[in-house]
Amino acid sequence: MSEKEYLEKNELISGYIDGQLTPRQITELKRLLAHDSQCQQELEAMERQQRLLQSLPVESAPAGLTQEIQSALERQFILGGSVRHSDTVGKWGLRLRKAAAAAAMILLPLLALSAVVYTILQPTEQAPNTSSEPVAAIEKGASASPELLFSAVLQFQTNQPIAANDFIEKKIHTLGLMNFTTPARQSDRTSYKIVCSRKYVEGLVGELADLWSHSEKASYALLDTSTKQPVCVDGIDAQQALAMIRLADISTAAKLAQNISEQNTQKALVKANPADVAEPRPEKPSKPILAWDKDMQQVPADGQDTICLVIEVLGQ
Amino acid sequence: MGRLIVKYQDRLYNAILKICGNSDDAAELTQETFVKVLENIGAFRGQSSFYTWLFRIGVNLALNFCSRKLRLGMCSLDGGVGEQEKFSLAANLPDKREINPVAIAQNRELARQVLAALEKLEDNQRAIIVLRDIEAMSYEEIAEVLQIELGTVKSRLCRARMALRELLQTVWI
Repeated sequence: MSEKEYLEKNELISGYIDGQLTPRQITELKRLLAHDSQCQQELEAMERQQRLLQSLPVESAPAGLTQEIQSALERQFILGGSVRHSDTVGKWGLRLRKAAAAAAMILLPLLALSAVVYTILQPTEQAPNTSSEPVAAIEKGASASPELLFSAVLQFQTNQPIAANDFIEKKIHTLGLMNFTTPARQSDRTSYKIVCSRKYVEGLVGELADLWSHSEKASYALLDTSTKQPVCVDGIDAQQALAMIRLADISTAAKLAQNISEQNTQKALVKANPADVAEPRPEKPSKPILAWDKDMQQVPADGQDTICLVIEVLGQ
Repeated sequence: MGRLIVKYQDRLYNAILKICGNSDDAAELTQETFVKVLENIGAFRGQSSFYTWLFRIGVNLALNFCSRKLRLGMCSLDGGVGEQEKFSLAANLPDKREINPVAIAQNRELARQVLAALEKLEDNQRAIIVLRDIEAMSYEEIAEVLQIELGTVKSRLCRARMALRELLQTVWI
């Protein structure tokens, strides 16, 4: 029997066990089976093989995969499509990612240093926005708009930017603020521009209280929409940030900023004292108001208290 | 989307696991499949069922992963049934009339040997066997998932079965 005939015979057998043969092909196979004992054996072997495959244990997806998929989809939703590529699957993909992260850890400080050197050597030219000052971000990220009560930037410097970003994204999603959030990524920072009613921003900032303990420093800058005068508070804590967001007018905000700065200076002095006691953990506000609970379209037009808050995470 | 994940994740995971042979990789590929589905949901015209579209993405990812893995030499697919492990399956076939620990152990061993033989097939052959004999897809659905002609499905499936039979031959006797 030629190879072609052997293949044709097996195609008939394969089609037969799947019920794909025409009546004519079935007749042909029956004729073959009647005269060829090997053909009969091949049919039996193929049927047995199919039964075996069908009886293989069905593996269920690991526990927690649903949650992982949903988290990945949420990340995808928030960041607008930069989750992972197929090149990064598997343990070798993991090593590749680790190598990339290590390379980034080396290159990013060099880039930052280059930016600083460039700024010093080229003082007359407009420096790029590599500053870690929230005022720089406020002018770029939270441009003032006449509809907004105010615009502000809350900036975190951390050595765990990935965890910080994950944490912020999760909170944004949990509170249903995705529709009001515009994320942006640069080499050294990630920002989340949130434009919505102040009460939702308050809720979010309250939920971010734990972020302070994982940050080196937090700064806050407020921009008055009418005078464009920035008010900065360096080393702000969670409660102070909440207090600043709750303020309606810039003059009160300026006074509070000054008070907070003085308080922070005093705290720094107290910390320098060996007899310093542990700072109390910032108190979380009561349950935040969830944007999910409202009709999403109604939230931005919620009275006269729409604000813009840019949350920025700096770190490499 | 949550309901779709719950509905299909087990079947997709199982099929991908049988194709790529590693549970961690299968879980990650399953996750990536759903992310890709969300990314490309606008491209889904409803000309095929969601199920076949989902599997097309998942199987493609798994096949790409397998070929990359092979190219980079991450692990050898020859590492399945060793020569010393090849023994008569006839002696291991369980007696269907009784269910006892020995029979269970024999079934497990049998499954292990079939999976090891499956791993030795070429990626395309393994994929088509998984889709037909494990996932029980029709020829039309397989053609849709693998983006090949119906005639190619028939011939590839036949060759894959012949190759698997060849690999299992030593254990049939």
